[in-house]
Amino acid sequence: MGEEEPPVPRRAVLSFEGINLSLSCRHCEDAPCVDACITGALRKDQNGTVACDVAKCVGCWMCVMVCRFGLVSPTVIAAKCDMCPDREGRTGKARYACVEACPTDALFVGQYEDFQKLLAQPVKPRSPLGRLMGERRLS
Amino acid sequence: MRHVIIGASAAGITAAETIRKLDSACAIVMISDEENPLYSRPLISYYLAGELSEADLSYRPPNFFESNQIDTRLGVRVVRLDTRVARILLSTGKSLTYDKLLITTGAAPKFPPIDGIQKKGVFGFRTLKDAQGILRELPHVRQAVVLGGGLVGLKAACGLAARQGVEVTVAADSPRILSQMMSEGAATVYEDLFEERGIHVRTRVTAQEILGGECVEGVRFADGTRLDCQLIVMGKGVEANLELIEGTDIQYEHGILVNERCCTNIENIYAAGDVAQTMDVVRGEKWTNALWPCAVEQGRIAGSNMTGQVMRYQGSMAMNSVQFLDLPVISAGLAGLREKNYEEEIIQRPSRWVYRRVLLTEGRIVGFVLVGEIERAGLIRLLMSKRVDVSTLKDSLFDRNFNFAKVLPLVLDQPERFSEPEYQELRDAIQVALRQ
Repeated sequence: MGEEEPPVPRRAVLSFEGINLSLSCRHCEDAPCVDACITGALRKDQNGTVACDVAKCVGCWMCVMVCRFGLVSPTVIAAKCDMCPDREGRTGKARYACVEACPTDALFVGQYEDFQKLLAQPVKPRSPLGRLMGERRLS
Repeated sequence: MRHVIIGASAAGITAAETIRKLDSACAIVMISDEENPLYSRPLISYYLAGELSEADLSYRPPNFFESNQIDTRLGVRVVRLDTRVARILLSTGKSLTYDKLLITTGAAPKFPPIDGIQKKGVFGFRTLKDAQGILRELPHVRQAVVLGGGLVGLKAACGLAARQGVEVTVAADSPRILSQMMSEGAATVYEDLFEERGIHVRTRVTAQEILGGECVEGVRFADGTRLDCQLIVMGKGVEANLELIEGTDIQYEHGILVNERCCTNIENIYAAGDVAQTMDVVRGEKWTNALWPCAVEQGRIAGSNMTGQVMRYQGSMAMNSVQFLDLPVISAGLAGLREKNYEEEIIQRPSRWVYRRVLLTEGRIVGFVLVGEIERAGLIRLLMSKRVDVSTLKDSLFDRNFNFAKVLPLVLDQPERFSEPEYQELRDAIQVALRQ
């Protein structure tokens, strides 16, 4: 699933009370976009990743209507974080494009429990927000 | 344990999938009057237009039933339900007992008692069979009339107009098209668009007689005018398929009444999807919202509860998202033409093809419609579904920079309302960040 189309933004950096919030799809447990998708393009895989099968998406924008974070963009297809399936096989920081690109190491990937441990550490990373990228526990 | 599911569209399929995920051992039987039910009904307009093939309409793999070990009875109708002995009778003459029953019989297009409505060439527009029937007629069709200016009728009109050589007219009773979804200002955008693309729109016209011999030749309206046509599509809304439960002790109004577990008044019988009447969170009363996203969610809730895993439904609401002729619209809540139950409205019409309107009561959003620019519609819908006071936000709802950060103060202050785990994660993180 390489990106032959022009790249579309899949993250948004929001500003809240002096904090920079880099947010992408939260891969919700009971993902409303998956419920709303009339084509079966949006599916949650066994890792908990919610991704859009671009070949199936017809652009009805039901997902835009129900996203609780306003994080699905109505471009030609429903554009959102898909956990970089085209980079599978890479490891460490290189596994995800945004994590690799982030110069301040502000993005975290992992389970929520690990994220909580990170937050509880005495020395906090600089802006510990918006990097719960998925790989969520299975529900 | 044997789960029997009547109907195999959005609600039934999702319920079966959920049951199988939670219980690998139980028996699941699905009954559908369609031979091949694994297709998405909201996509049939794309099929009619020639944009999608029949295979493209599938939203689950073809081996869905086998891989989930579901026993099917396809092309079969349920003719009787006996709740006292927990048994159903099939059109094949066989009967089947159940431990838990899920009714997802859906809804059917309304065919009002207009003279001549039984003529050949009059179609509903709900199933693949409807679309295939229309396609078979098309070689003989020069003019087509869609009766009704609602979402389904207009999707059919766009599908027909995509076919060469068919002149399409939409004829609606109401003063404006899409009167359930939007008010005048937004509807005029679409009326203009349709006319510009060659789809005629007539409003305030009531069909009185369908003309012709065995086949449709035209339609005559109450005002005496008539239109020649060889095809008519009924877009007068749908009604729940309740025949099976009439005469049983299952309670129903417009649909089967269910509680927050999607259970009927009979403890082992559940209902979900277009046939179910669930709590509408915007209206504050039970309502049938015959919509794909609601059907899927209710199917999941019903399936989970049928296995004993309690899940509670937050409730449904009117909502829809559709593109007509490449112009998108998202509408939700009480946004219709006849809706008067609001105190305040915010309207923007920045350009010819963009229109936005939000309705508020006591500081809360009760309905909205976004035409042309639909980004962040989910956030407006979120605020509406959570019934929060948006007094501090209402003037920025349509701003280009309106985003989740603007909603965040509410998410932080009202954890009981924004209780989803994804919001809790953000609260945890932000509280740490704010302490630094």
